[in-house]
Amino acid sequence: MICLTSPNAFNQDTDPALLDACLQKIAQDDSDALALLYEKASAAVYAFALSMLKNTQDAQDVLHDCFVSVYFAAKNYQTRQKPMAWLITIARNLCLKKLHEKNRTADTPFEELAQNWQEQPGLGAQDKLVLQECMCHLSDEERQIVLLHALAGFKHREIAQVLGLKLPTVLSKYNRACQKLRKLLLKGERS
Amino acid sequence: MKKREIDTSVRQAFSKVVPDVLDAVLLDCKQQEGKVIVLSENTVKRPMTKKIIGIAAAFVVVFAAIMGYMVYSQNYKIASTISLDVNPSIEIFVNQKEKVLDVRANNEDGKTVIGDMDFKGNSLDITVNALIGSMLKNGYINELANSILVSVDTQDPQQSAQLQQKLTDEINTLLQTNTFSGAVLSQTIQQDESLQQLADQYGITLGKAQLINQIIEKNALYTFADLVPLSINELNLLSESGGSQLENVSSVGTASDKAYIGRESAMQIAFEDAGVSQSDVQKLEIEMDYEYGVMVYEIEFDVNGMEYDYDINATTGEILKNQQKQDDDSWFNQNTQTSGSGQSGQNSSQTSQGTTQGNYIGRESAQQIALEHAGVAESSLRQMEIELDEEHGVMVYEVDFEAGGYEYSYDIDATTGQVLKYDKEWED
Repeated sequence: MICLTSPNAFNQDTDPALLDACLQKIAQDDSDALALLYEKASAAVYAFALSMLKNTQDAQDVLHDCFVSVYFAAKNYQTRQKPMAWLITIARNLCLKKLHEKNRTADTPFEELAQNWQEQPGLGAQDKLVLQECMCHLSDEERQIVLLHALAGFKHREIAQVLGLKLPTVLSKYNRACQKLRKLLLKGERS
Repeated sequence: MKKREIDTSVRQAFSKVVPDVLDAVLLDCKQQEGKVIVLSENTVKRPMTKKIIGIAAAFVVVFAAIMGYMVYSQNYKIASTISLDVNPSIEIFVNQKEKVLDVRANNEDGKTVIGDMDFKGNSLDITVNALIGSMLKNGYINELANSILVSVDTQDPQQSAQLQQKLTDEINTLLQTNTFSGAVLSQTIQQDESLQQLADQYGITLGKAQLINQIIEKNALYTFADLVPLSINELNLLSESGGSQLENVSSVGTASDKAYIGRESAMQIAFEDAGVSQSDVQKLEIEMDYEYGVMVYEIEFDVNGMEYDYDINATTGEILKNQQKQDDDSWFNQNTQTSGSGQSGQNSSQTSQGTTQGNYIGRESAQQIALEHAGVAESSLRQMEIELDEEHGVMVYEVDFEAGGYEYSYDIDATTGQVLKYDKEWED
């Protein structure tokens, strides 16, 4: 029996076997399975899209388009124990398309982004701080790496594969990003 | 603050701002399902105009004949476009009677193939014959790269299919040389505006764009930009490697892998590196793949419960990746050369947890070295985290711990035990 929790629930469960099973059912037009996949993976897809696009509206579009694509492409998915990598790659392609359409210019200033989140219910001070520091003070690649690690549960080598970077690059960028965040968060907490 | 805590707080924060678009997704999925057929009807409007133009053209023909104009000027309307892609990329425009109106090169290699030949007014057969001949003569199609992509774009689907078949047979015959046989991929172009835009953007034919698109649909790990620079032979190898036939593309012959070291040699390189004998190998899988900007053989196999995963440069035989793992949580890169006998010793020391690796000093020693360096007694420790990681090409133990109000962070060379980096910070 599958139990659905609220969409905003703490979302860590990216067990490949479960996602694989979801995708197989989606291939047979099972929309319940799509809902379950959405619950498990939407945070990772959205965070990753946000990390690339830096615009909440665009990221929301990609989140939507990604799951619609998944619904129709699930038939072509081959079980490779890497469902999350597949999802993220689809999301990445959609983001690249979006960036291309927008000609890489129209980013929302981060202050505006932060404003949106000020109003959001359920966000603690610590959450707002984390969101702000991630979006404002990490480089694009650092942000993508940190978010893939935290939300998609990717290992460093998987991040390297999806982003087309070398493993040592991912590792050193990840470490650097963590150090940056650590300092910024401690500083933010104090002030 | 530990990496794990940072991870958790990032995860929590971002999970809370995810918008809920599930309803919209479900709605769109249902709606688009009914729409799928409608989308492919885009091409329907063309035959109508074609008919009208056909009638108009017929009038012109009658007129022209009466006026005693040249036979060639009968019909300037492009009825079909045929593109040939190898690496040279050439488009042939023909009229209703399959007489050539124009031949255009899409890249420098294409120009070389066409040279100073003028095909205007020739029959399509002769033109294709001459172009293939020139490709062979100029060495664009050879033993090492024998694949060609033929894409037909005609308004009439039936005519398209016929033309596609005719050209495939003809080119296939032309490519049966004494030294090698060719591989012909053929397809009918489906009009797709976004694909046309992509093709224009990268300066490739719509045919090649369509082929790339289909390969991406089969394997989502490739991106369009990744595959654009590949030749048709390389794309053919990738599509064969996927195991399943691409829809809408028919394939005759086999792509040549003679430019590469071959599956057999790649396998031997991997086995030798892993120090295993072929007879112990189970679940062997070899695929050609395109990674790190080169063609690779991707080899996966199991020996005694260990999973090995190799990427071998298909041209040079260089090992680009070698990994072994026991389960998903304990993988590691093995950078050091291991001999056959060393390997068995290593296996036995890697029991269920996979926590100590034969050639490395082990977590215990790494911890000792760090504590000694910091001058901290084991009894005064709070929280200890040790992780095996690769940094700048060296395997290191990352040792993090807290003691006496300080946070310590060490990188210890996993092979030599040398302290590579350390950091001591006052904890708030």
